[in-house]
Amino acid sequence: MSVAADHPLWERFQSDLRSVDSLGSLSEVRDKYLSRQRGLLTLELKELGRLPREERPAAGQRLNQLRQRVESALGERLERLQSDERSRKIQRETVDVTMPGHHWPLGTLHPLRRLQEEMEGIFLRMGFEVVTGPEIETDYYNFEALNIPRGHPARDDQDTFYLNDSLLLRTHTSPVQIRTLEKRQPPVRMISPGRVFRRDAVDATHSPMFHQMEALAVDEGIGMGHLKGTLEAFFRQLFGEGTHVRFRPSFFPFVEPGAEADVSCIFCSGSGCRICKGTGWIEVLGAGMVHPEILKRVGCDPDRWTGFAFGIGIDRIALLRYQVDDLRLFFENDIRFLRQF
Amino acid sequence: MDLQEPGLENSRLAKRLSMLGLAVDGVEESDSDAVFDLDVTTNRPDCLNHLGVARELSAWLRLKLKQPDFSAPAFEALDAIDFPASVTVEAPELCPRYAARVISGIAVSESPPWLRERLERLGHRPINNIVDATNFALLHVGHPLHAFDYEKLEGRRIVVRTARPGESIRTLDGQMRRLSSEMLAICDAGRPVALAGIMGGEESEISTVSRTILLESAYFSPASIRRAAKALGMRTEASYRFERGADPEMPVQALNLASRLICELAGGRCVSPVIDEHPLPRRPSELELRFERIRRILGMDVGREDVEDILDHLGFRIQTKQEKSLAVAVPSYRVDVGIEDDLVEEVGRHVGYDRIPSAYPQASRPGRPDPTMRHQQAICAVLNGLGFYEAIQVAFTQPDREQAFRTGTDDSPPIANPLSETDTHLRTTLIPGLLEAVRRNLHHGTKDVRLFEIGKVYRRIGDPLEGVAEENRLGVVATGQFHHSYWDSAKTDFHFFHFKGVLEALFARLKMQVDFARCELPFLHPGASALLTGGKEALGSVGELHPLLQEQLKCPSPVFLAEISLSSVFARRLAEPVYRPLDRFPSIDRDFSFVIDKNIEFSKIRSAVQTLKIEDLQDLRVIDIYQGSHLPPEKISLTVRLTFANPERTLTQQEVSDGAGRVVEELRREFGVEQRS
Repeated sequence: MSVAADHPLWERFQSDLRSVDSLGSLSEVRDKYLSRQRGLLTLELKELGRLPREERPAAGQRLNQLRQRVESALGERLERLQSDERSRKIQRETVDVTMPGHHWPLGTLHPLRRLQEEMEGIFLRMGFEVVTGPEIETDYYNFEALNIPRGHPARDDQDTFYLNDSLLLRTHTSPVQIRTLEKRQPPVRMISPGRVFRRDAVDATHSPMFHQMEALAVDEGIGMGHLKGTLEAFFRQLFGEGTHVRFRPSFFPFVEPGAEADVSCIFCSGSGCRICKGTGWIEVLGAGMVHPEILKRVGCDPDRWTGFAFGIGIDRIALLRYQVDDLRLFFENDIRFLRQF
Repeated sequence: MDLQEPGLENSRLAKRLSMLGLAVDGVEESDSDAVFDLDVTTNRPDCLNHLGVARELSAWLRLKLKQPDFSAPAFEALDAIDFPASVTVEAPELCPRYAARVISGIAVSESPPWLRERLERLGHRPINNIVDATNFALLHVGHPLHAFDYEKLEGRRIVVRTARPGESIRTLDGQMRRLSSEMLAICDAGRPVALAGIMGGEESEISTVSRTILLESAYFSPASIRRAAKALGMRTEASYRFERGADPEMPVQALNLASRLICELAGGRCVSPVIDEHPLPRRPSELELRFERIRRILGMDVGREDVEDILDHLGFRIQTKQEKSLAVAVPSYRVDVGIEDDLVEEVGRHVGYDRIPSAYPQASRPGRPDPTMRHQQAICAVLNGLGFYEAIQVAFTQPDREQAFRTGTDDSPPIANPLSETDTHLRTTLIPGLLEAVRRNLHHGTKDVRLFEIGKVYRRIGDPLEGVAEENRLGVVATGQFHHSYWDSAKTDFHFFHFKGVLEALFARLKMQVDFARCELPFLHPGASALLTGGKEALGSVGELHPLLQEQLKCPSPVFLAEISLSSVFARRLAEPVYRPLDRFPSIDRDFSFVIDKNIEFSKIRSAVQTLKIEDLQDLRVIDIYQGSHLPPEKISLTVRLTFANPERTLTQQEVSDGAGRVVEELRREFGVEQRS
């Protein structure tokens, strides 16, 4: 290397290189020495031809070594400059990562839809079909077909909005079951979710419009044990494996035997708390075996086919599941509420 | 009731009653006794008294039920000569049985403390010894009785008949009641003296000077009492029981029980025999109960002895015993038992529902979601992703609230019996409710509101009294900032094209081609509203809320609305995507600007370009609009980008220039545009 180091151009080049402080000045230095036309080193190389023949190899070698040194020094300088530049860029671009991110607005599903979809999912996996029907119903489908003739005391329990003598706002989604059974022979396994209406004044636990999911299974050999097993499977998926279901006898005109089902309190696991009023149980639904008169009415022989039915208040379960203390919040559409789901 | 069973704690009793179907709402304990508040279902009127509840407990404890003393009090036949009385039932369908007895020599006074206290503990106000005795019988055995002042009964007779036109009666509560011809009245020789099964009349009411009473113990048909009580807006202890079904075999027994108590408390004696008019005796009912049915319905086997024992304790009589079934006579007080499965329930209740083993039914076919589920999920996913919250509104409205938002002649269906003056009809549109939600959110300080609802609207069709149609719709509303103001960016309010873009994204997801055409609707900004069509079908409308309505809403930013019918959206199958090969050759863009009349809608420009059918032209987009001092006021400068591509090869510059040239030429020819350099 000493061969090239003593070349006068090398000294000059080194001095020029020291004053380089940017990519621009580096490029100027490169041009000054290596430009094809006027580069000092290029010119020297071109001058080689004028030397006596015997001197040329040595001088050529020397100049080529010098050029390699120059190029490699330029390369090193370039890399350093780029790396410095990158460091400055990184410096410039350094942010406070604890500042909040840009706000991308995201909406939410209504809690009632969210829960309904979850419930539908469980029933779909258990082989139930989701069927919907009209909200405006006839007296026949809402009452008569379900063993609630005019004058029946049970009509008091479901105070009804009427549109006229024959049409009303359905008080439950059971009419969908009748409509389905009229069209199709068992086996049937269905749920009918939807909006229902009752003439209840608005308060923290009542609304004139709410949501129900009624389930029906009609097949050969269906009994109350299947009802219990299905409800257990359902509530364990919804509320957790440790959930228990208990039946108490009750009365609904469209089932016989009839039952009210309680689940073990999801807040205290049955030890007693404010929500379950210390009983360890929360009443969640009405259920029973499909009344044989109803089966006969839709053309099913009750000695061959039996079935269970139950109806769940989606809003009621939502109150429990999301620990909402006022039903009215579901229908006020306050974004401060909706964004929580 | 007197329950003598050692070790029976109240809490255990309450739990058991609930598990028998008699829900205990509360237990009020005192030193000497405990009052259980039971919620009795409508089918069990037999449990609206102590005897009935005791019977249930006797079946649970498998103990013998102690019957009350139903024997008739002593009576001297000679006395009857001085106290004639007769009963005529003219309406046997409505009153299948009417029993009565005359008691004389009574002194009406306060009841003894034991009776007063007992009634008070049970929520009854003590009146006098006669009324209290009938109330005692009511609570004890569940049968309503009524005492008339015998001296005030014209002709000393009772006629049970329907009311005649124009008849009325002042009832014990002091109200004058006009009777209609379907109502059953208890009359004397001339006029009504009581509303059958509901309430007595004031004129024949017993008073402190009454010496002789006629005590009524009847059975009335439930439907008749229910109709009359409802029509008169009355509900009494008596009507409550009769309309659910009293025990048709109880009248004479209850009469005996009450007579005996009255003689004891008021010092009288019976001066008439038991008058028992029984024009329509009850037909005893007998049911077959198959053991196989019990096993099938309950899902468990119950031993024959258990079945017989339970039924026996509940008062069912086993008529014949077969190997596989029993013939069971239903007691008169069990009005709820009419079919075999009712007996299965009795067995189940008393064996205990908690002993029914859980089983999981074999699935007969796979589950199937609602056919519109995927559409609804797609809509929710797009709108949620774009920042819209899902809303649910109660579907009631009032025509005034909807007036400004009617788009057609849809008539909102009125509710015959609305709950309030503000919710008298069913909605025909989702918009007013969504705007109300905007208003409420603004009120709470939420200024950026994006909501949508998938819900039904309703309209009358055909005969205004007959048909009502319902339709699923999507309503969308947005106001406030599109970009939220933030430390790194300026805020931007939502504008028409943001909102239109939301709908375009939605329909792209639903794979539906939609068109927007200018329209005018009374509630929308006349310059920024459009009808939405898919194919030839009208889908709905979209636009900015009319500035006047925006002012009324006191909303600081423009409000954008859309309402879309989902009938045709739901009717289309959401087609599965089919893969199209990716472009292998680069596309080439060509931008150019031209000055054009402001009034020429972009859709016209686009269709003019489309008519050229330039094969390789893939897309036409607006990338800039300029309007300003360099241009006459009626002109704008539009910069559009043409994108050319060919699936087979790279296009040459010449081909692209030729295509672009044709577009420019067509626009010049059609609209007289001048291209700007």
